[in-house]
Amino acid sequence: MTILTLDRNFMKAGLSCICLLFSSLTFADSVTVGRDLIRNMSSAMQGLSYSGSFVYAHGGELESMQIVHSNDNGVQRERLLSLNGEAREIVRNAGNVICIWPGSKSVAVSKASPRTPFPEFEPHQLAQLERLYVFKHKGMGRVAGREVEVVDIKPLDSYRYGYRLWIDAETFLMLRSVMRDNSGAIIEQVMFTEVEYSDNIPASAFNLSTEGERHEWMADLDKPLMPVEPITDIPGVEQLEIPDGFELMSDKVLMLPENSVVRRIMYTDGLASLSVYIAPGGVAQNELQGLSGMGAVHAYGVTQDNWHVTVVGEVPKPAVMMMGDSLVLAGQ
Amino acid sequence: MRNDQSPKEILSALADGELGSNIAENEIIERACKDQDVMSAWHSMHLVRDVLQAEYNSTLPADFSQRVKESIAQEGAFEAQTASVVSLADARGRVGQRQRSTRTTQSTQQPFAIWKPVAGFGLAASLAGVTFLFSQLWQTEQPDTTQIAEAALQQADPSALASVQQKAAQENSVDGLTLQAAVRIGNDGTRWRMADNEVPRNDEIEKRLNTLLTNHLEDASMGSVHGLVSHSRVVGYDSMPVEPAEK
Repeated sequence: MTILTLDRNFMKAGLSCICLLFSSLTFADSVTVGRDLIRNMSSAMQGLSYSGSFVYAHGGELESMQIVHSNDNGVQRERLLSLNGEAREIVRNAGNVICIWPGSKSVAVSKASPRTPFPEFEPHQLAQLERLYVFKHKGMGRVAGREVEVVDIKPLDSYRYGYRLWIDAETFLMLRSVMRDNSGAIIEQVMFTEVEYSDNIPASAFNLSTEGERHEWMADLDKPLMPVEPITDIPGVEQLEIPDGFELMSDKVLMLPENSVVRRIMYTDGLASLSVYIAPGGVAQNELQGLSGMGAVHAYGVTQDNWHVTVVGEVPKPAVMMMGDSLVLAGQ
Repeated sequence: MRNDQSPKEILSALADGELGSNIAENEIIERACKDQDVMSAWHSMHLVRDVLQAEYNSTLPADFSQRVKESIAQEGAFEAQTASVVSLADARGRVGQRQRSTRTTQSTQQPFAIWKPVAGFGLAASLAGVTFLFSQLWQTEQPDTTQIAEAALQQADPSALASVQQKAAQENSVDGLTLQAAVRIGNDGTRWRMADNEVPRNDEIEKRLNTLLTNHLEDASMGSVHGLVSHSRVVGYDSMPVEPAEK
């Protein structure tokens, strides 16, 4: 009888171990699948040629947008157009990014950043990401008439947002995303309503819908764009408290379209990023002082002596405030 | 002059110089001022009369009255203006602090209700243009009088109308929804929200933030799960955003 009891207990324990092992494997598998899907998705967004419409919801507002993207032997062209309200649009080709604001009859032109296959996560970067987020494959779904894989990305602290992504099961293009804050509240949503894949997107699809010649051009295309000669008198950062996991991505001096010179120091945790802009200014009426936000994006402005600092990024308020409040400029 | 006449009829008679001597002028004015409909009619009479008789302020072109008449003659029907259009009469400051909500409520339901008794008592004798206006419009949509004036002004001098509307939008006496709509149209900013609600919106700051955000996203989108879609935050913009529900 005793032997039987022991056997039963042993069997229970063994069964529990098997279940635990199976669930662990399932969890590990779901994490791996989720992570791999993200990697494939990121490459697809740059490598595919596609066009479509999507809705963008934020802060109780709803916008409809049209997007066209082509990849012709590695040369990417993109166009994003607002379909309601002011017909704002951004067109990016190999060299330039052109932003058109019909309301102010202005066109801002800046140099396009080189597009690299993204993201080329190195193993240590993946390990870093998994220290900050939990990736999980949630199953299958359907968006814009296409079958999708659903992936959750949950942050492990309050300095970054969480995502749920719906990724085309065949092409890996992201067709829907929901961004949540630390409390679980939805901050932004993007969802394609239709998408078409084509390797033959005509060049005319990237024509500006606005007659730019009637607008004020904020950069001259005949001249070199955004001269980035080092301007050493803009101080760097001597002291800065950064949310865990964010690392320096770039440190540049830039000429912005309205001919203002700024130093931009960009940080990223691999998914989210934020920039610290340092510009001559001091306390001026038209410079941000304190916190402002728009959807998932937050900005925090502070002044130090004759310099104005703006921290901008698609991160929660605590992240920009932490950086803005802790920042000490070099030589100040 | 009969004693059983309504305040509007008396007002119309006063405008036409047909009041008898048995009623003191002060008493008429006192009675009229207590009746909101009468006051509204009185303001409308003067608005149209002033426009048609060229007694307009300096922001308008010299031949504005003639152009208004020509515009009225050319237009078969005037379509309703957008929600941002506010009362021209108020904007001109000729009627002090009169509430513009009158136009958006009463006039949309009964566009010419306030004009019927006026027309019936021969106001056209002193406002010939108004009679002409009636003859042209009564058979069509019968729109709001302020819309007529604004439509004419829009055709005659769009910049003057914009100036008038801007001035009106800056006043605080407009009902909330119209004021918000008027202010936001033409705003080059996006939807930046200051954490401190006491801090007013500043277009220059918003433009600056848009520039920084666009620049940030250009590089950040390479490392973002959204790619170019990230730019929706700047590109996406509706000039008539959804307003909070009125309490």
